[in-house]
Amino acid sequence: MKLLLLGLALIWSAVVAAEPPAGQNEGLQWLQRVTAAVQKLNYSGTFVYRNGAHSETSRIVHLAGDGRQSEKLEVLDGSPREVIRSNGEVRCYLPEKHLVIVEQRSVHRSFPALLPMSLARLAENYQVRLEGGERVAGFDSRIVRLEPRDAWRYGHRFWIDTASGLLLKAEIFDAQGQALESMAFTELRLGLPMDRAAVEPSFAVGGKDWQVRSARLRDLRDDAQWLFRAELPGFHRRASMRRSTGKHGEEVDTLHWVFSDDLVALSVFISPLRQPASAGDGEVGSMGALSVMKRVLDGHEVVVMGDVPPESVRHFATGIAVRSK
Amino acid sequence: MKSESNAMAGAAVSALFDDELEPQTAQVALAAVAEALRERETWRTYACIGDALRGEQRPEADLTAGVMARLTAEPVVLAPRALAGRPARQPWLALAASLAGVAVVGWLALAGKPPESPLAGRLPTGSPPAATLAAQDAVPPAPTLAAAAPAAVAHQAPRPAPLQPPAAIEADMSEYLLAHPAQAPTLSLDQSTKQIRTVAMRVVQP
Repeated sequence: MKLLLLGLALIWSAVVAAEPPAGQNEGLQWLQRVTAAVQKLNYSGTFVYRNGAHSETSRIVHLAGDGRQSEKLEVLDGSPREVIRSNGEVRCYLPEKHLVIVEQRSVHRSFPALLPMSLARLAENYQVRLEGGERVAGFDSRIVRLEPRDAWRYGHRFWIDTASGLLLKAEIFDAQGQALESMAFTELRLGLPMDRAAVEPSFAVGGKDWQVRSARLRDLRDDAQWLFRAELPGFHRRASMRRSTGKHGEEVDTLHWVFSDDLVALSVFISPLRQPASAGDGEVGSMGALSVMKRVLDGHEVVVMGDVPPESVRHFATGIAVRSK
Repeated sequence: MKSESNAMAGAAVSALFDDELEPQTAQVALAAVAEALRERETWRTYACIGDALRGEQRPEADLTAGVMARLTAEPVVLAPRALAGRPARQPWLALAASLAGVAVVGWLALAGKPPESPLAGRLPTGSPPAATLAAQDAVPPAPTLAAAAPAAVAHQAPRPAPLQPPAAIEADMSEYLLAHPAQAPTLSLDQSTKQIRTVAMRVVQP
């Protein structure tokens, strides 16, 4: 009788594990609508980014009507800062430092990077379900909740405009359901005219006092020296590149690997150590939903960052090793 | 071939319900049942996604969900036992996050500032002690039904020392923060949020 009870209990839990919560497929369809909306809608608005006690208001203009996506994001609080995204290139303007950081389109990336497979894989790592609706910035939304299937990743909630499919609000929460980070529109206008000037940077980058920092990206082929021994379930290697930056005449090569579970990413940066000792070795920290760990390994500095719990980053970073020659 | 194995699995499940199986055989039968359920679900998911991509709406014709929901709603005596066996949320993860969060906000905020900044004095006090894994090769908080909690959790780690970034990290962190989301081949749902971090850290400075 005991065995039967155990058997029934196991079958019952297997059924619970295999059966998706009501609305999984509908939830995935909503996410599909979001990625489609971003690729074809023009909009502008104001949104609040919240990260713990810290919050910040930004203005965004997004143009996609002509098949290309361009976006301008201005931070309205504190010192002026801007992010311009255009054709896969991202430029970050920090006018107080007279600094522009440019991130080029990856050698691998084809945009949009949405395949049916990645949606299916999403359901392997997250339980997707609908959570009713709510009004956000004057728009009616459906809420899609992605509950992680294990403790290696965070949960996500997306508020999606029922009419346009646009993402109105997004939240990342931890195992206790506490929001770690969120973005929410407070005001939104859809259907802007195509005005390229609206997505131009506000700062004229010229003269000697502006510094442009840009890494030259190349395919990384010879990365056998580095071993990733600790796997994160559901995360697969998606890209690897060599980033060359010239600083004061000296070339520095940083290796960059990207791992992803199709919803969030984990980046590994490995660069030659330019100082004999490095403080903070082995420390893990986080900012909002982003966890960062730094290690010193064989004369290199290893930085692992990802939108995952600190323990996941620690686990992954600790498993990085140098292949013995 | 397939039907033969199905018949065998059916017989095994039947025997299981009649309490006629040895424990080891029962395990195998249970695994087969679980696998079959999983396969069917994967099939349904892929089919539905295919429909979604082709823009075909299709009603939930599958009755399984309804039947299963009703089964679940039945007053099954075993339900609490089974629920207890489901993957437990790890409170130590959140605990570690809350403390570490304080430390690295300061660390990242230091980017571009002189390293002698009295970071420690600015950290909020009264944070709970960090809980970290004792073993370096951490036992994964396994997603299996069997694992209730990871074995190697210890609540002994001291509060981490204030982080003093070396010059290299100061220079590179903002680049890394920009590169990390920009190169991520994930679903581009909320790219803006990820990009705002690159510049958000500047405001964290007290």
